[in-house]
Amino acid sequence: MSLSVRLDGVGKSYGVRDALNSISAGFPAGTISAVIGPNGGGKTTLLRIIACLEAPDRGRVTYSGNGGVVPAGLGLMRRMTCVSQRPLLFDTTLYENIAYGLKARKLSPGEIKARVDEAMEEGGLSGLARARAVTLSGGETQRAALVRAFALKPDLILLDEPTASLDPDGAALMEGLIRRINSEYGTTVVMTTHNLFQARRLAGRVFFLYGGELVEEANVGTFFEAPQKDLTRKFLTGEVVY
Amino acid sequence: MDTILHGLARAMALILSFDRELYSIILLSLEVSGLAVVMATVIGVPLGALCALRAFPGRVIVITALNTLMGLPPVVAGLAVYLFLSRSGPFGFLGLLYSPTAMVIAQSVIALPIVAALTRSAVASVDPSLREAAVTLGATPRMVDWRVISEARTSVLSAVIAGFGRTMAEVGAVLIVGGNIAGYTRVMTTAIAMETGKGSFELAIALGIILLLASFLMNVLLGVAQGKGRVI
Repeated sequence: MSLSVRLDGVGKSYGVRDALNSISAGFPAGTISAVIGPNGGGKTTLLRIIACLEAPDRGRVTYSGNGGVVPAGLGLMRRMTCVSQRPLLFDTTLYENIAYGLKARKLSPGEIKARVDEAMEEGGLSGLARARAVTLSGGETQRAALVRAFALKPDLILLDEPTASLDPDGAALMEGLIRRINSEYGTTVVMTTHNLFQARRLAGRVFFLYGGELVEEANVGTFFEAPQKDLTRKFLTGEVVY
Repeated sequence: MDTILHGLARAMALILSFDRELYSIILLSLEVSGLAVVMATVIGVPLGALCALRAFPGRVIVITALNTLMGLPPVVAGLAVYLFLSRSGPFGFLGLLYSPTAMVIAQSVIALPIVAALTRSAVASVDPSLREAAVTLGATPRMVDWRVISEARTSVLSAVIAGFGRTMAEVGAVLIVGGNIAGYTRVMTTAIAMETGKGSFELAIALGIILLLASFLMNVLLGVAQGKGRVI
């Protein structure tokens, strides 16, 4: 039931600056892909375009699932979700936050409660159901936003720097959840990260964006052990500084 | 100084003895201002939210008009309502002039721009990322709008309380369209103005104390709303 995404010649400009320049790439169903690169490389813009939060100026994005193309619209939006780099929780209880997307999908109250309880336990947030979301710490907020997304069991999940605000324990917990949602539900995962070790641990395929260009994409082993492009090598050895 | 002290003592006596005239004036004030603010809220909150959430032809004109009318002098509002409700006006046949209904209408006209403009400002200031978060969770456009308005609820409540405060404190409009008729259209502000003019300070001071108390209570309510009422 997972979704695949195909980008063909996708470009996006902000004024005179090209944030993305003719990106063509595929994210197959049921895979975990990591998009890496320095700040300003276009990672977040790429994710926002896939999440339908921004329209590309050029090119197109195609979503496929169940053997056919999935048209844009609410149906597509309910098969995927996105957690931003700076996650925002609604000013209500943590329970209501996690239940929000499930209510939008018109699940029964019993199913909503079961899913929220399960997600909170898996995310290490048990006991915080009645806590006001705005009182959570930065790390808890990021975990809660991820848990809110995981509770939907989406076909495609887009994660922008998902563990940036987490301590090593929290990051390990979330990495476990990313692996689990991918293996258990076949969810396609596209994530950006500055953490090369994390990309290596989680991803099957790695995409390197630099200055809005897709410099290289390869399977994780090839990408880190035998990169084809000089710029990729320099990035991996730290010669191209973030 | 003696006049003030004497007035204060008599005022306290009136308040504590539950003086019938005093409390009928207070009740009418609360009734008129309360109904006016309900009307202003029913129209103003959706109007302000609409201006914040949707683009439509004439939106800028509506926002500019609301912002301008926030400073509408009550006497001008009173004059406009008077002209509409007077015998020769378009709604003169309703016979509403010099009635509490006319006062409610006039105060609604005063409170509406305040409630609508402050609501627009409150809803517009909600972080756009919050709207995106709702969209990525699969919410319908209506759910997204409701979420954004809910996030601004404390400020929207402040807008309603500001509207109520303005109506409770205004004197010009209710005097023009209500006529300050004893036992029928006399409210706290018109009574204070009249009693002061007569040199009868005790009732004026008593009503002044009640008005201050009402303002204090509104601030307490707002504080409670900001502190505890944020979780719904």
